[in-house]
Amino acid sequence: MIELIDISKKFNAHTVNETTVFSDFNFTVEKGQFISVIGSNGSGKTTLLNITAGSILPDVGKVLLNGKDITTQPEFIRARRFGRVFQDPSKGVASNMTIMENLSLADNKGKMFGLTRGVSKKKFQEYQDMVASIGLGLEDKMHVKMGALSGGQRQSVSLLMATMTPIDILLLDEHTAALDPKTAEVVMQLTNKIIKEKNLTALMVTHNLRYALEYGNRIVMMHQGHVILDKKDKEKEKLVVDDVLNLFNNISIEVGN
Amino acid sequence: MSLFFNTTVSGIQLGLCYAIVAFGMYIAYSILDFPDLSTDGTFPLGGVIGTILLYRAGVHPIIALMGGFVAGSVFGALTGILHVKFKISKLLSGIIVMTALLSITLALTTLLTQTEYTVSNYSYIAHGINGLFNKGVNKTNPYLVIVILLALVIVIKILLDLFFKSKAGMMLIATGNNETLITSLGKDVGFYKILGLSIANGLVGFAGALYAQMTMNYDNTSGTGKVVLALASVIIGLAIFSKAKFVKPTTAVIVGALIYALALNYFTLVDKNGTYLKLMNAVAFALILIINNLVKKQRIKKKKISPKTPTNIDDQVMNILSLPDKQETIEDVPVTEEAQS
Ligand SMILES: Nc1ncnc2c1ncn2[C@@H]1O[C@H](COP(=O)(O)OP(=O)(O)OP(=O)(O)O)[C@@H](O)[C@H]1O
Ligand SMILES: [Mg+2]
Repeated sequence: MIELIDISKKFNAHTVNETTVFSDFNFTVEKGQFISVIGSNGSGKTTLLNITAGSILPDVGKVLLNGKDITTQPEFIRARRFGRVFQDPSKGVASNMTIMENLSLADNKGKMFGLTRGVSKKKFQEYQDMVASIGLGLEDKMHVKMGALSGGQRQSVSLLMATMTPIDILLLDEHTAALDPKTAEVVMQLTNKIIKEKNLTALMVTHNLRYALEYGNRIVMMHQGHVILDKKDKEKEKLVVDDVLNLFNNISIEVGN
Repeated sequence: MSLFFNTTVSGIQLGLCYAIVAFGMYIAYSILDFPDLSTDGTFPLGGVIGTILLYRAGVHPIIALMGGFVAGSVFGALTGILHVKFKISKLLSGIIVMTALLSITLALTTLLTQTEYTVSNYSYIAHGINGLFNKGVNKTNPYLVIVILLALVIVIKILLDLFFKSKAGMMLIATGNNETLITSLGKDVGFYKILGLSIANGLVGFAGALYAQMTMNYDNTSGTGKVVLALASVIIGLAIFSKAKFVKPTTAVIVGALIYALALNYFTLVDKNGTYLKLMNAVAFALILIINNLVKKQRIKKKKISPKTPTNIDDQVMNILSLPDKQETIEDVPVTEEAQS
């Protein structure tokens, strides 16, 4: 369980560019929830993920992981129990290394990176099977450099890498946004499959309303640093695109854009 | 002819010694994208430490080289710490350490003279210091020198290749490629940068100690121009073998160092007093960078006109409120593309 308690966050404080993203923001992610987060540009979705992951510190407030205060714990330490996939497909992988090498690194997450061999031949079959399960034909490209793959292929491998070792939460920030619609669909289904199979807790930011409604068991809409819609389970299932779209439009009219 | 031949032999000797400096620069520049100026300081540092160990501690010449490695790695780590922990820019961190080492190496020569006086040169032969390549005043045969140097270079190359295949080595390579990934894997990016610079300057210190033994003389100014020389070697070597995937970068770097050292050495045939050697070094380096940039531009141009993936309109309609398709940018091309591909 992750709790964000009374979080306040300003950027460029005391300057003309001061932006208040959150003031007294509270948010709880229960274990086993798969949350889709939607909301207008600049509403604070990425900032929410960054504060959770420790990429940025809140000005005020606490972040708790299973009751333990991790607010000031360095990002790389909490990353050992977090999985994260970014919008930019090149951020999740080492592009100058092969699929095999990337998976080997990810498999070792949380352990020592010492002087033993980085790539174990024994694991080849296991990794190849994992990659084959994506269904993009990557199983024949185990020794191809990641940089030579398409964005969708890289994003799929990123997903495998982020979820290879046990994690407390998977953070996804518009991880399908840089992909063409068909590939986005493939990656989204893969995401859903992995989350279900491994029983993961996940926080997924998306601009795709259909994904937000179709996948996950909780939906959250954000606006100007506030949660303006939060439905889970049965209630979420009753929601249709039009409901959400209307709410979205109302906000847009309110703020005049 | 004989002069030309001798120049070739000494050029190969220098090239092999500089190959080890170039290994260091390969780690700093190609892997970590850190053009490390401390190299100019850690080279003579290795030289003076190695000479002190030989002369005052009477250690085996190989141990003296290791001593050069340790000394270099300490100051390499310092460069890394200045950059990582104190957020000083890459170039300035290098300049600070290099400048400090100008004094430190000079001060260390008092351990050679055992007086309060410093010296800028200290001859192995005049002081009866036994390096790898001389027993007292007897110099080793120049071909044997090449064999010994080659053996050292090959051992280091193999060790480096093994290291790059280890978990720690792969993390170092990944650090230069994608820092976010290192963080995601639960490791501190700064640690790997400091580690990389430490190993890089360790190699430079090792080469500096080797250079002193090879020339049978410790020269306090021997570091000048080593950054440029090492960068040039790395860039030439990697450029020559950019299409040959089976050639390991470490091999390419050795070839680059040999070519560059030989070219500079031949230049001394014309420039007998060595007055213009550093100028030549600078001009050659500038030309290498200019040519390399032109080649890179050509390559990027080719990439840009490659066809984009066609998207299906029906699919787009399905995607309510989805963001406009973001085409992949060429940003993925690593900053140091010239040195990597
Ligand atoms: N590093 C930063 N420096 C200054 N301002 C920032 C920074 N990061 C975010 N902001 C500002 O904070 C606000 C919230 O940004 P955030 O990235 O969280 O929005 P978002 O909901 O993810 O938007 P989008 O849908 O566009 O990704 C925006 O006004 C943004 O300009
Ligand atoms: Mg965002």
